[in-house]
Amino acid sequence: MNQEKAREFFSAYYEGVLEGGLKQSLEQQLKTDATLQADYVAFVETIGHLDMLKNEEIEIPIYLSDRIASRLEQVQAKPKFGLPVWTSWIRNAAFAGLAVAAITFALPLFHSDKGTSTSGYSGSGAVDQLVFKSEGSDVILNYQPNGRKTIVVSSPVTNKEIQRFNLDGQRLQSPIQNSLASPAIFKVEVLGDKNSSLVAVPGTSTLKAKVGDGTIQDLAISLAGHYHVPVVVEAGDVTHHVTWNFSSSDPLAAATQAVSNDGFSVDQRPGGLIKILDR
Amino acid sequence: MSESHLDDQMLITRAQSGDKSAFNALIRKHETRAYQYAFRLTRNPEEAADIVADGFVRVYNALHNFKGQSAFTTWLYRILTNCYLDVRKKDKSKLTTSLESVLQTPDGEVERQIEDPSASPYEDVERNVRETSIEDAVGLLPEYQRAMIVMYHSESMTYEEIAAALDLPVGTVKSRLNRARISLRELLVRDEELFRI
Repeated sequence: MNQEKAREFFSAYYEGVLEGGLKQSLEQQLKTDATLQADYVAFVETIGHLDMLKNEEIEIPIYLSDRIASRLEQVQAKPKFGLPVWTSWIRNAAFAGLAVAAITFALPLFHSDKGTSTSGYSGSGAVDQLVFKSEGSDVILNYQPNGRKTIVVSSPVTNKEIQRFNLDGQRLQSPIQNSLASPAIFKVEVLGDKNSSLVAVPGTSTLKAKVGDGTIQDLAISLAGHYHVPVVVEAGDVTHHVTWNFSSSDPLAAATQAVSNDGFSVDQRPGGLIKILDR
Repeated sequence: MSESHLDDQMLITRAQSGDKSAFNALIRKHETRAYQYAFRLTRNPEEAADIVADGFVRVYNALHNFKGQSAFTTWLYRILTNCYLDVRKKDKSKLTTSLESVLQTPDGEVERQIEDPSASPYEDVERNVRETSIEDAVGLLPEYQRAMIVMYHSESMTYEEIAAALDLPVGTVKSRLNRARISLRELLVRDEELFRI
């Protein structure tokens, strides 16, 4: 082993991860080659000084936040052929996730069987009531109106409307899907009704974070992302602040633990759908 | 509780859904660390702030593509490193001849020697070591070596994290870091009378 080759192994030797044969060979070389030995001693000293770099105190300039903000504003101000502006980014980001849903929303099944019949979804017979059923990680929205009704699906984050269904007695059955990596959340409401529902649909990836805090809406997104189950929230105050810890492998237990002291109840429907309701 | 305490993935998910406050919280959470990294690379407050601002613009533009396959911080380091390398590339492109160009001679390839009117790296080292600043000596390393040294020794990143941030195999990171440490040592020992370690 020549000096140049030997130096290639300095870091591994210093870190104690050099394999047996090479280690032996390098140690032999260090014993017999004074120059190499001096090089290694100097190398170790350098590492020692490098490890002190993390102690360097760096003053954060007071203008840093302003500079970041103004640079982002510049991007917003640019025409669309350049970098996307904030609003279009919102549209792209939100609708990238929601586009898939929008497509499926665009192909709902309308059944002309007016009245209370309907089979194939839980809560059959529920008139003028939004009913959600899970199919794997997708959600099926069912609605049987009594007369003319309009269902609006929107993003609770941007408040932008995604899809609108004008019904005249027909039963609506529409899948809500999300093919993005992240979970997506939708607000579904019947125009004229006081209450609305939030529906969190898991994405293709799993959120790893187990501990967090935020609103009930945030909890729904986190539950959907972590446990890969759809979550429906039917509560008056979705901005209520809660904390959660998903140490349990059971999403029902985790959700219950998060909200049970805050005036909400949780249940789990066939297919795995989690529902958070006012108690 | 402040949004800056929220988990990165939660903030990203919300930002991807168009929640601007979540994106702002993400910036607030990471701007200090981002600046420290950029400053350690540049040793220049103005340049470091520009790199951080550009970095967050890139984050903003690409956030909808972020799939969470690596930690957000790893992704941010990659973006900041690229911003830094781009700045350096622009600086270099102002030169009419590439410093990296190679001359073919009968004895093989040799690096082109370019007369540089400014102080040589070693003269710079001499000047800097008078201030006994190893930080400045790190600043004399080639950009990639500098980034790796800063990531490992200042930011306490693992080899695996550096590999992910620079999109390089772990083995390559290890060998290049070893080379960087040796280069640094060679720079420092140029005048041990001035830099006594």
